[in-house]
This record gives sequence, C-alpha cells and structure tokens, in this order.
Amino acid sequence: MTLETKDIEKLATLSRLKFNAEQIPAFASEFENILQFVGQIQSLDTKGVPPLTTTANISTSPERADVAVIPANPTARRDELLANAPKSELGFFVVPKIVE
Amino acid sequence: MSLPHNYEMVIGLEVHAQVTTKSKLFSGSSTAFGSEPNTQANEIDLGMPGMLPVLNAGAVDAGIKLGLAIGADINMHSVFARKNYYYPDLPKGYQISQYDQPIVLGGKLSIDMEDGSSRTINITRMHLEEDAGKSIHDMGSGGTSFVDLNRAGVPLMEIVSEPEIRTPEEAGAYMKKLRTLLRFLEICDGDMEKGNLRCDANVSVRKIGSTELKTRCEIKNLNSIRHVMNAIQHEAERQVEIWEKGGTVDQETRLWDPDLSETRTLRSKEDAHDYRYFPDPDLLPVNLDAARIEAIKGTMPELPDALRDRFMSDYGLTPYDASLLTSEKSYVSFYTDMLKNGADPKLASNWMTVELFAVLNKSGKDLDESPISATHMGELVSLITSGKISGKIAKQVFAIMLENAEKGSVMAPSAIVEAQGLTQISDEGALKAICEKAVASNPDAVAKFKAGNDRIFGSFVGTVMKETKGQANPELVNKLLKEAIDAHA
Repeated sequence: MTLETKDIEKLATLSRLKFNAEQIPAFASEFENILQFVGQIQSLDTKGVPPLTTTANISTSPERADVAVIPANPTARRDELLANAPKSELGFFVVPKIVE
Repeated sequence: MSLPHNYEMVIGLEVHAQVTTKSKLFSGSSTAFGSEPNTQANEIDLGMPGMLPVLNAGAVDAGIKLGLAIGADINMHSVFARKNYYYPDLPKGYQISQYDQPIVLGGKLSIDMEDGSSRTINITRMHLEEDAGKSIHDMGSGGTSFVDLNRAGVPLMEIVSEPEIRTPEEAGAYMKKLRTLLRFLEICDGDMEKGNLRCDANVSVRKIGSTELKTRCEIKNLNSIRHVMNAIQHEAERQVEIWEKGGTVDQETRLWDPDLSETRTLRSKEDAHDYRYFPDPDLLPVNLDAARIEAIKGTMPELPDALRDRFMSDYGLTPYDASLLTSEKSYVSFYTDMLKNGADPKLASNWMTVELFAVLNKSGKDLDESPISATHMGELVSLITSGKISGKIAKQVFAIMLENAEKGSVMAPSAIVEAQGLTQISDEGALKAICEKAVASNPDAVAKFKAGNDRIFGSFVGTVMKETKGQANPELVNKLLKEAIDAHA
C-alpha cells in the first residue's frame, strides 16, 4: 500500500499536527513500513474466527452499581482539578475561543 | 403540513436521551443538574492519564428496558468503541460510544395521529454513549471559551429510527411517544428544555411514488418538539425549491434557527468528521446473560401501548384520545380518578383534554398543578352524564370552580349547582308549556321553518333557553319544540 502526500496531510489534520512539506515524504515511507508489517495479518485465514475486540483474559466487562460519589467539599475538589489546567476562571476551564 | 409539486418527505430521527442514573456512564461522578461548574467531574471524566472507565450497571439496565419496551433484539454481546474528534468539551479527544455492535438492534414505535390514523415506525438501533461537556462562548474576556465538564460522561441512549417518517406531524408524534415511553420506564425524564432529550433530524425529499432516497441533510440539536416539526418543514421546503430549480441538494449538517425560521449550513460533507471508530481497549465487551434480562422483564410497568389499547376497548375512546390520555402516568391516574363516580368515559376524556388542558396550557401549568382535582372534574362530568345539568351549564360551573380555585376556596360542583340553582329543568310538563309558548308567540318563524328554513329552529331554542336561564334539558327542548311546531296549525 502506498501513501500519498494527501493521506499524510489528512492524518496530520485529524491529529491536529502541523508539518511542513519536507517532512511529509519521510512520514510516508515510515507509515508504509508500518502498514506493511501490520498487513501480514491479511494473509491469515480468519474464517470462523470471531472478531477480537480485547486481549484481556476476562471475558466480560465489570460493572459498578449506580452510586454517585460526592466529594465532601466539591468546590475544593474542583479547584484541585482545575489547578492542572493552563487557565481557569470562575470554576471553568478556559480555552481559546472555539465556535463551530 | 405538506409539500408543493407532489413531493414527500423522508425523515429519520436520531434521539439522544439522557439516562436518569445517579452517576455517570463510566465514573462515580454525580449527574445532578444545575450544580456549580466542574464540581461533578473527576479524573476519569477529565480524561487524566492512567484513569480507567468502569461501566455503570444502571445505564446498561436502562438500555435493556428500552430494548424490551420497543420489542427489539437485545444484543447479548455489545462493544464500546472510541469515536475520535477534538473539541474542548471532550477532554479525552474521543467519546466512548458503541458502533458496529450496539446493545439494542431493531424495535418499533407506534404513533397515533390526530386525524385518527396510526402508524408504526421501525427503529434501527439504540446504543449507549457518554455525553460531552458544555462550552460557553460569551463569558469572560473576549477570545476565550469556558468549559464545564459536569455533563461530560453522563450516560445517553442514542435511538435511531428508520427513515420511515413522512411528515413533521409524524416526527412530532414519534418524539412524543418516545418521550412517553422513556418516562413510563423511568429511564429518562424527557425534559427537552434542559437538553435531557435532544433530536437530530435527517431530512430528504422525493416525488410521491418514488422509492429512491435522495441526498439528505442533517439538522442538529433540536430541543423542542415544535422546533423538530418546524425545522423539518422548512428544510424540506428548501430542498424542494432547489430540486425544482434544477439544482442539487448538498449533503451537509445544518442548524435550525428558530428566530429566523430557517436552517443554515453548519458543515458540508467535505468537512464531515472522520471519527475513526475502534473498540475501546480500556473496556471489555458487555456480555449479558438471559437471567438478567428476565429479571428486568419482571420489573417492567404496564406500557403506554397496552394502556392505550385497554382505554380504547374499556372506554370506547379513539386511538388518538386514548394515546393522549396514556401519554403521562399522571394523565392516566387523573383520568381513571375522574371515572370513579359514574362519569361517562368519552365525556370525561373531552372535559379533561379539551376544557381542563386549555386552562392548564393558558397558565403554563402541568396536570399535577391543576386548580381542580380529578374528583371534582369527575363529579362535574357525572352531573352531565346523569342529566342533572347540561353541557352548557357545566361550562358555567367549571368557570365558577376556576374562580373559586383562584381565590383559594374549593366547592364541589354539585354544591355549586345547588347553591346557584343551576339544576337542569327536565320536567316535561313545565318545559312543554314554555316550548308551546315560544312557538305560539312567533308564527312567522314557524311558517319559515315549515317552508324549509331549518336554521330558524335555533331561534325557538334560544327563546326557551332565555326563559329557563339556560337550564332546560336541551334534548327535551328539541323534542318538545318539534312537537309544538307540528301541532301548530
């Protein structure tokens, strides 16, 4: 499988990454190598093999009871979490303006 | 509402219903509404590194309930997948959703229209997913958006219909029915104003008789039934105009602007998201067992359709009226309470859904805030049913009851009838004399009536009613007047 410049550009856009034109060919060949490696799987006969969605060795999702855990001091807890954010105000996370 | 140039609409609805669990889909954070921003978001909801989601059993149970109620297949094996996109109110950079293996497949919803027709709309699927947070764009200094993650991770059911809906009215009826069902099952409060029930509509148009599916547009985030109906009508008209002018409709996502009554482009197909779904490696497949589903079956309430059918057969109601009366649990109990003292079921249905609902609508109240109790409404209807008062007098009594309620006093309708001397006159002897007098005093009208002017009959009725202060039994008056006219030479 060959990857074209526009494929790399699309992946970059989807990943919110910016590259200049010189960087693209290197990515193209690296991705091709990865795809080729992974592509070996295509040669296997998977007839009758159920799709694998997990490699964990327990078969079903654990579930928890529907109980709300309410912190003793919700605003103090909030402020702790907000402390990790580059910017916060009035209890909100503040981000550069984004309007879709 | 219909379309010009022989077009019909092809409508499919995607409804997001917030599950009324106490905690989020994958974390123990509270889902309570209206708290301080970000006080109900923990490390899992914030997508902090190393956090692992753990599935909420209550949300799974809700999904099973809805699946059972719509007669769908419950998938014994379903898988959570990551839907990838970037937006500040989606901290992980992906939404945990279900993709090719949802928890519920198929199912149907029956709708009853005001014109007496009924239809069944097939449901494609229902899956569980987490909600995003909320961005606020008009706070603080310019150039910033504020993000509240209290809603991030709240469980949603996405219910997708087949594109079988043909009119905005059907879309409205579908939404109402779904809302009723969710509320009966107590798995979603159906509050559209709070955004707990939201709808995206996929709309295309085609010539009647054609079976092709033309390009559709998706209208996002419709947050009231009225908006759903108006947006669909306007969008369909826009598409008809484009096709009729020889143009082509572009596949795109559009927004409804209720102030301008128009839809406008949000993003075109070229900008469509590429979500790159894949099974979430943090979560295991959900494998259900039959015992769990059986146990949930045992907790299911009598469903609105069963109640509707019972109301139709027991009370002789039309499908639409029966549907309306079973659309809320509170309606069902109010109506059945009304019937306890011999009120005629059809008349009771009319008095409740026409007279009382008009009053409630006008004052913006719900039925459980009704100024008149079900017992008194029932008694009022019983008075008509037993012939003690006429329907016309009943409206007077009803008005007095409302006035009393406003003053904070309560008086039973029978007591009002007694106190005001409003009892219907059904004494044939007394009425006969009045009717004969009405006929005798107006020979001109008699002549006109006999010459074929049927409408003039009303003037005799008017005279008698005036004479009896409206209290004469109308059926008896009709009969006696006819006799008196026949006897008049």
